[in-house]
Amino acid sequence: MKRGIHLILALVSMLPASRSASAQMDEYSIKAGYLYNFSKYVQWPEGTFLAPATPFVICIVGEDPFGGRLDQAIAGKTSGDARPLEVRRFKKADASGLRVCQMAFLSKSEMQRTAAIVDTLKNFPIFTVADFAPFAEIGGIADLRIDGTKVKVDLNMNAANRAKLKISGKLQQVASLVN
Amino acid sequence: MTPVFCLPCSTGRNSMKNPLAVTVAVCLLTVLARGSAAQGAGAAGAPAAPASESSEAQAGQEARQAASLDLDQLAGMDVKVTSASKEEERLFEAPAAIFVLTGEDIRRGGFTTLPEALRMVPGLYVAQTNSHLWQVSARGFSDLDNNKMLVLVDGRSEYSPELGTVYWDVLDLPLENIERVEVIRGPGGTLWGENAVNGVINIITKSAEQMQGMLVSVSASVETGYATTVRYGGQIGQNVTYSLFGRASYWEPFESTFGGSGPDQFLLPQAGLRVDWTVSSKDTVSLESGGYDGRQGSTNFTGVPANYLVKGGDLEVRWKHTISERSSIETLAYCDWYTRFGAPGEKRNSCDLELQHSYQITPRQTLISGGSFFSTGDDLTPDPAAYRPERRRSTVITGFAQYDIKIIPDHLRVLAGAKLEHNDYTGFEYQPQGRLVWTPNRLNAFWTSVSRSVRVPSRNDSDLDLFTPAGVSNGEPVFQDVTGNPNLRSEHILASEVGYRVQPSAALSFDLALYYNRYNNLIIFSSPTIQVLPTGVVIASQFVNGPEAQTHGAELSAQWRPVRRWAISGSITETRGSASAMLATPLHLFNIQSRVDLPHKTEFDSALYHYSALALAANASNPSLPDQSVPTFNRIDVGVGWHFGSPWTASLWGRNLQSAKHVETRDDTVGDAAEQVPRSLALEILWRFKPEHGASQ
Repeated sequence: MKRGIHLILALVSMLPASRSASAQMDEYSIKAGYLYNFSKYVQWPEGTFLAPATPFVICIVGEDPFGGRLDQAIAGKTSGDARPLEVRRFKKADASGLRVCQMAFLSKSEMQRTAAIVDTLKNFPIFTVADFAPFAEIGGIADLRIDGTKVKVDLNMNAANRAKLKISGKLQQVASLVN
Repeated sequence: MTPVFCLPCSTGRNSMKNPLAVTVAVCLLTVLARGSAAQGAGAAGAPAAPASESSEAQAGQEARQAASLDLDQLAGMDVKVTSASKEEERLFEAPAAIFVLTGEDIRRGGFTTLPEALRMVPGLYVAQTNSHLWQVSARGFSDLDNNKMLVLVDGRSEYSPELGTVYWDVLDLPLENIERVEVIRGPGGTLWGENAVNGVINIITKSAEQMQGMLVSVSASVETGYATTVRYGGQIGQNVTYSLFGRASYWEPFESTFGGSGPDQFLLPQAGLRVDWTVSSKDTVSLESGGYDGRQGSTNFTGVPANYLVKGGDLEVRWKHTISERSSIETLAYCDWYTRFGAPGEKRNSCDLELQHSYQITPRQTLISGGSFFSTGDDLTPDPAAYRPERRRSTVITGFAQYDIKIIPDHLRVLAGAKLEHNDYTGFEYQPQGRLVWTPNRLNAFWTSVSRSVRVPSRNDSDLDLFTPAGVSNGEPVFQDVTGNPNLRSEHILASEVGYRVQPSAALSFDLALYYNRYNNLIIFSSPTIQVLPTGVVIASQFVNGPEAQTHGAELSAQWRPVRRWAISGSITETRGSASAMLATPLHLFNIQSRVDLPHKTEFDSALYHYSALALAANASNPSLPDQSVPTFNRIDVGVGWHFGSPWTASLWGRNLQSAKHVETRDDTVGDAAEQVPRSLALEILWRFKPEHGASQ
């Protein structure tokens, strides 16, 4: 039912009306929303966390394009298994330092080093995500790409499996599967 | 008022409360009669939210909202287009040869005065005539009577009807106060009114919101001069922001080709105020006022150098009112007065009242209409030449309408408009235009336009009354008698233009404009008649409407960012035409700028400008004067900038490194002396303190 309404709303917004009449958000508000949702729709392997209260860490690697949006999006919220959420920033991709992360968002500033970073992290239970193509194709787990006027998710299931991360059916349904 | 045809108007910022008004604003570029128009970015005073992005609080709130959405909702959410990208889109789809020089472009170039920053604009020809005066023109006709460009500052016309000149020396705005300069080559008749025959330069200053906190800047160059600006901005209550500044500049005299220092030193103290008031969610009011009291060095045709008074002021109020989601109205009123001694000299006061209404008939069709009343009175006794009458007041009344339709949304758009005006010199004038833009996809845009525009006779053309001794011939005294002609018709231009823009990648873009301009009724001196009178020989000449002329050419510009830290931009301008049009205009212009961001917040910038030779005709009435031509020259500027400590910025620039001194243009009516632009080194230091929750600067 909910899906049906969304479909109707989507159709309505495609009618020749003023474009600005439909709902809109800043690009990085939407992406922050996605990162929060990933923490709920992905399961990390046993033993990832030391204690039940150990926070779930989202890392931003490179120049931070979110402004304060990611911090605001997760403020007061919890991950899928009720852990507090935390944002950490790494100016450079230092693989050993990144091991504390459950999710790592690679900024466009790290584009040149992507292949190397992905390669180092591939066996660790870290959900790697970026917003430039072809991140998912080269081994990253999720790519938040702009498609027309919307932000879509590309998922690389092989990479997720290698990292021993279980991706819920719901997320697989919304995303485009690349591998 | 924002220029009419969907050019970047950033009125998006003004109407932020109203998403539909934003769409309407997309097609708003109000260009009204007689030099009105363009206020652009935040001119009416944007309320609390800073220009482009939402404030931090709004961003945070939106992000929290995003986190409460589920995956399907996120996947269905539209990305909001920020005004920066809206701007890019609008520029890309503009059916005109437009270039926007941003405040950042100006800052990055390390310029100390505005005409210098205009050199990099494709299609503009900038020639420095002395230490404080420039000729700025486009598409030919760049002689001393360069009278075919309209220059506006926040909608106020800076075009003087005495000769058609623009006094760039008193337009010495603090560059830190300039938000952007929109340059449109080609006739702006319908939109900007008469006398915008070859183009419009639209200078838009920052809103008070963008000028908060304290700023002090000092620039110094032993060769060219010194300037300092102090600016402070604050808030009164929630709805009123203000900013005031004081500035003093001193430009050193240049060396004359006759040897010795020219008499062209220039001192200009000035001050200005801006107040923006958000009256309600539907009304914003903006007030600007300024004044200057300076001195220019000149010989004033007497041969004896002295300092002459140059002073003036202005007061302007703008009111923007949103009537509904689909319609809004803008009112602009200003008075401008100045006194200027030295050649040319004049006292003038002008007042202007304009109204513009934009109405979105349907989401695809917009109608913009309006009118204006402009009155200017002058006293030309300060000028060394004589006029009959010495004092004159003239009035221009205009009405205009422009219709804009998206025949195929996102792909094909057509504009048609016309302005009708009445003035005291030529009566009724009609200026229609039509434009079309086709964007097959987001990477290519084609546009074309046909327009008719007029230049109304200046006071000089109409009322000059010059009777002067001109030497002795065969023992008889000779006199020169040059008179204006009150029966002149306007000069007409019929311009056809075609343009193409392409963005092969995110880092590379090209913009090409081609034009063919046909001029009729150009105002020229008639062939002199010789009368032999008992008292002597009189060579008489009058202004008449003369033959046709044409210009045609191409302007190509490109922007390239090969790596993130290095940006390159450049342009080529080719101009051809009839001899009368090309007298003091170079055939080829080329420029290229390189900007490199180095570590530790350092910037390394360089620019090359190429100007081909001017073949100014030998002075026909005095063949004994040497050849007036100006050779080809290439100008090289190199600069370094750096930020040290958060409020401090400094830059060091070497300009005109290519030669110790050079001539850029000559005044072909007054003998062959010319002032030479020197090589110079300039240091600028800027200190800025912004309050914590202020707008961007």
